Amino acid sequence: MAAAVYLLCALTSLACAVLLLRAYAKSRVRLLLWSGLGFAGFTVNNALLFTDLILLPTDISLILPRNVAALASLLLLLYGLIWDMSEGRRGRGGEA
Amino acid sequence: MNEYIAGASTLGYAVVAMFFLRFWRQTSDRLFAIFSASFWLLCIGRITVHAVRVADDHLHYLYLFRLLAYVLILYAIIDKNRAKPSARPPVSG
Amino acid sequence: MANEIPESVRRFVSMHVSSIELLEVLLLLRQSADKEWRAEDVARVIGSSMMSIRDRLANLSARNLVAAREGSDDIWYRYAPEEDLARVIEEVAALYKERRLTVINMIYARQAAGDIESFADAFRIFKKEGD
Repeated sequence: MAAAVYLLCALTSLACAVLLLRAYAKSRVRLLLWSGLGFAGFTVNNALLFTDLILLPTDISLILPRNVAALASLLLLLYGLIWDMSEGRRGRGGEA
Repeated sequence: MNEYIAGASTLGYAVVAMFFLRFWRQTSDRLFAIFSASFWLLCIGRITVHAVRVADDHLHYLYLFRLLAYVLILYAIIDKNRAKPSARPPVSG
Repeated sequence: MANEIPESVRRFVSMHVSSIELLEVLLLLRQSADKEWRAEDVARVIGSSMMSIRDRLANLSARNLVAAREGSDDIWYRYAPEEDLARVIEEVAALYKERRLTVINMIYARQAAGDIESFADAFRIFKKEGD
């Protein structure tokens, strides 16, 4: 049961990553690149979770890499969201 | 170290959820509302793990938050592809 | 609201100009219509990153606003819009000179909305044809 849950999470985040990156390849909207990478990171996080809690014995813990993957994914996603949002407000410096 | 990372992630989920909430307000596209709900759930899930103070999140019921969050995202994707009343046949690939 | 912005300019911006940087690149190439540019040269003049300028040039080329020529070591771009579009771009250029803020605001409004939409659209698994 638990295994199925983690697997479902991993597959769902993988689907999001693929869809977003595919759309980025087409549209070149950078928000999609960063959020696609973010979801790829969530996929790693979920895969590590599966490995840690299902495959590996309990005395080995991947909690640190899992947490790092989650935080890195969020930072990628947020970078896209914030960069993209503020691009509008950031005056272009080069008054060429 | 782990604590800091986990704490930052919890906050991160909330900020992302806020962004999606805002996108939902701007576009009234349901997808964003569902994504926002999903990230709130992930955020609450993290808080609960800390509040319950399990050594590691081995307690499966805590993962119901994560499960529900991802089921929501899955639902949002399905919803997006279903809600299109397009007469045109879908292009494969 | 914004007084007498020609409809053609509005349409051009909403169809083609996804960012200010893209507009700057387009207008730079327009200034020297006969010159061929590499992404590197454009990046230097505009003062932006190569990666982003490459994207912009590819984008402009996909829209047939600039022509791309594959050289031995690099891709060369030249200003090459069709005639009626070239006329609109002249108007855009003039407006961007005289009422920079108006143009910038138009682009921002379009940009944020467009990016958010493309995020949602990414989750359409079966794209409509012609997209």
